[in-house]
Amino acid sequence: MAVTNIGLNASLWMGSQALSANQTAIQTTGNNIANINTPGYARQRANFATDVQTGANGELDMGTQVTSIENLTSSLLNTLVQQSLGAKGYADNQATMTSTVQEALGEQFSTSSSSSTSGTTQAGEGSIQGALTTFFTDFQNLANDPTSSSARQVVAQDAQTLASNLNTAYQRLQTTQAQLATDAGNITSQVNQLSQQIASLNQQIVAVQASGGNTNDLSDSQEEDVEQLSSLVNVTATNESNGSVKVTLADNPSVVLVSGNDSNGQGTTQSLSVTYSATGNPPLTVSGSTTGSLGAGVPSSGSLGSDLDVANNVIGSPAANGNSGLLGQLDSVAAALISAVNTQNKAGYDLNGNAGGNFFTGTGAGDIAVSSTITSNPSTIAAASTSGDTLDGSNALAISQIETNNSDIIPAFQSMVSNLGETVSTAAGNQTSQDQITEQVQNQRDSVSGVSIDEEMTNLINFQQSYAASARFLTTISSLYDTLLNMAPPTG
Amino acid sequence: MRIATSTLSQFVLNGSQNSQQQLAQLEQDVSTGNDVTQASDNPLAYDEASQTQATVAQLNGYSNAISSATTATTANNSAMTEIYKLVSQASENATSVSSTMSTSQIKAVGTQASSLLSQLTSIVNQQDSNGNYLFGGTNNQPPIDTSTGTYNTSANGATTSTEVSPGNSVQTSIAAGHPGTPPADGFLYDSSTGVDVLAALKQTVTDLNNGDASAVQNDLPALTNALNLISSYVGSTSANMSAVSTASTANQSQITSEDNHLNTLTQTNLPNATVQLQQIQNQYEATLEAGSRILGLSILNYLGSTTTG
Repeated sequence: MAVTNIGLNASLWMGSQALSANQTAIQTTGNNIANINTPGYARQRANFATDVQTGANGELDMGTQVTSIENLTSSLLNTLVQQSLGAKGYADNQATMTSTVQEALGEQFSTSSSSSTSGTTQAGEGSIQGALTTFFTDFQNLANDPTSSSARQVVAQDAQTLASNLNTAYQRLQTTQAQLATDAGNITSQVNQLSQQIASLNQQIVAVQASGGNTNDLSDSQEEDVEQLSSLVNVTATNESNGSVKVTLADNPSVVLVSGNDSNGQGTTQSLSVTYSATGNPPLTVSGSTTGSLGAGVPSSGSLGSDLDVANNVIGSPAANGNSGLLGQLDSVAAALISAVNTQNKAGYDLNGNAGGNFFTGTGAGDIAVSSTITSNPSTIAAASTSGDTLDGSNALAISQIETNNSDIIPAFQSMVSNLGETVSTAAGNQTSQDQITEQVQNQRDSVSGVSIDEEMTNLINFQQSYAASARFLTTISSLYDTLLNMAPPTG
Repeated sequence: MRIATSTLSQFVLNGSQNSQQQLAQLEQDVSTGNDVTQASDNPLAYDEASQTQATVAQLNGYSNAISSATTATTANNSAMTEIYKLVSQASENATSVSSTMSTSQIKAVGTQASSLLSQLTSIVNQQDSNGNYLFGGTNNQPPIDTSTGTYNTSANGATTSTEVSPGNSVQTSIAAGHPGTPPADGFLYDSSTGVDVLAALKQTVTDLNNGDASAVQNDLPALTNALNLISSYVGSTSANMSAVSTASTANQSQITSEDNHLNTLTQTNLPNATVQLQQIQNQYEATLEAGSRILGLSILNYLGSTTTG
């Protein structure tokens, strides 16, 4: 095979190209090492290719050149990470917020320290169930001693404690719901900011690509912003041919948050906002600046979706405004208590022989209170079934038996608390499993895009040695030049 | 799979986080003594514990009821026993009178019988610490009008019961009764048999005070009937005491059982928790040890020695 002689000048060019290519590779390696902890950064690789020149004598191998700096990413894995982050954002927020709701309800066990060895489990302070059982036990005690002013006073006081506990739990749930609305507002602000950033990056990427520049780092930033957005609200990101990305709500693709394909070639955004009304049904809704209200349960995932779910479904609405979730159930329990106790109290007679009146006032957990007639004069509690029979406590006993006879009070409350516990426990379980899923997907992506110091250092040594060898090659060619020049006869 | 450097540190972080979370939970379980304090800790156990706790509260309520029922039934039985003794004494006094006794001797017996009648009135009209008449019916009236020594017909014959366990009530008050309109049945008067203890006693006292031996002899059947009536109340109040005592034993036993069940459901099994604590501590140490070895490793550690070598 004939070997084409390329000449010393061409050799010098080849050596110079090799130095340049290895220098670029070293710079790329340095960039990878420098960005090892940069969120969203995907490692880059300098792609080498033989520099082949074609001439009259055929192909001439002119060494090497860097044809491109490639971002090592997988669009499939990126999409999986985005989806996983949306679910993770939902699961994380759900675990935190449902736990907060459980705290707000305030149902806990505590251990009394009365026993020397092990205490007895009892209802914690502020417990509604504890107050309910105490209230009914007080009526049982009153039934056994209906003329006792202290027994009547205890009934009135513990009834006030029960009403207060219901009021407090109700208010705390509403406060938590308002806090969720504030949190949702903060999240939509972040969503809007990220949308603007993505739109801005869209413009830059389109412009740089149009001029033939490298958009690897801009794309990394864009990917990072989309991932952050995904954890806040479940979105679908579609890569456009010009390098921009279009972001829509996964629940409703017609709701476009970011588009880089408008007529001016610029990115545009749609902002989200939340509306909260404690008396609304649902209380918390999300709207788009151009599409209006997104409807119940939209978005369904991401932190924002979780806020909506906890506010609208877990806490829910009072009986008067939708009657759902904990607020609705708490209202139902309070309403059942008010109705049952009032009905029975009115069926009896007080210590003065007068017919009993309403024991409680109000309609639900938010406004239940003990009648001022009872609190100011506990002798008006109708303990007797017969007028004038002051030693008859049978009506008080009947009130105490509401505890076991009425499934809409204590059993309903227990069921409500257990269901909430199940929700919190499930949310915690989902958080754990979603963390693991996200970790696995991120590890898979890191196996493609993540930086390895060992790998980069190995590459660095390779490139360093190639660079040194190329420099030696140039030195050799240079000495050949010197030899040639020394062969020429001295002038003058 | 290709491993990025960040993946290694993430593994270590996740491992230590996982161990720390378990350690924190176990530490809380051990220090508080409870492994179920709120519903989310164990929804199923919490639900059962919550129902058990409500049951315990009800049983404690029954304890209070049993306590007052014990006091009431004891007082009732004591009063009936005393009254039985008084009427029995009066009957013995009447029986002791014979035609051979002088009028003054019979009157002396009448004086004793008068005293017994006075004691009976005192017992029947006794009040509790709240000033309630124990035997004056549910409308709280003195059964005997002390100014006239006759029945107070405004007292009713209603009695009260105390629920000492679910669906199980024990009569905790008894009424003296009276032959008024309408009559009220009780331990002094029974409308079905016409037995009237107060009338029988008063008639006997009158006849004794009149020194009329034959009249006194005629009073004996009524006194016997009175004794029988009161005797039946001694028996029923004793039975009530016994029923309360039985309920008390059962209630206490159930409280102990439910308390134990509740504690089993909610309280930490310390031996298990301690073993788990040790296991997780080992796991945590292993994670840290592995992390400290792996995270420090890099080709960088060897490049220098190769160069100098």
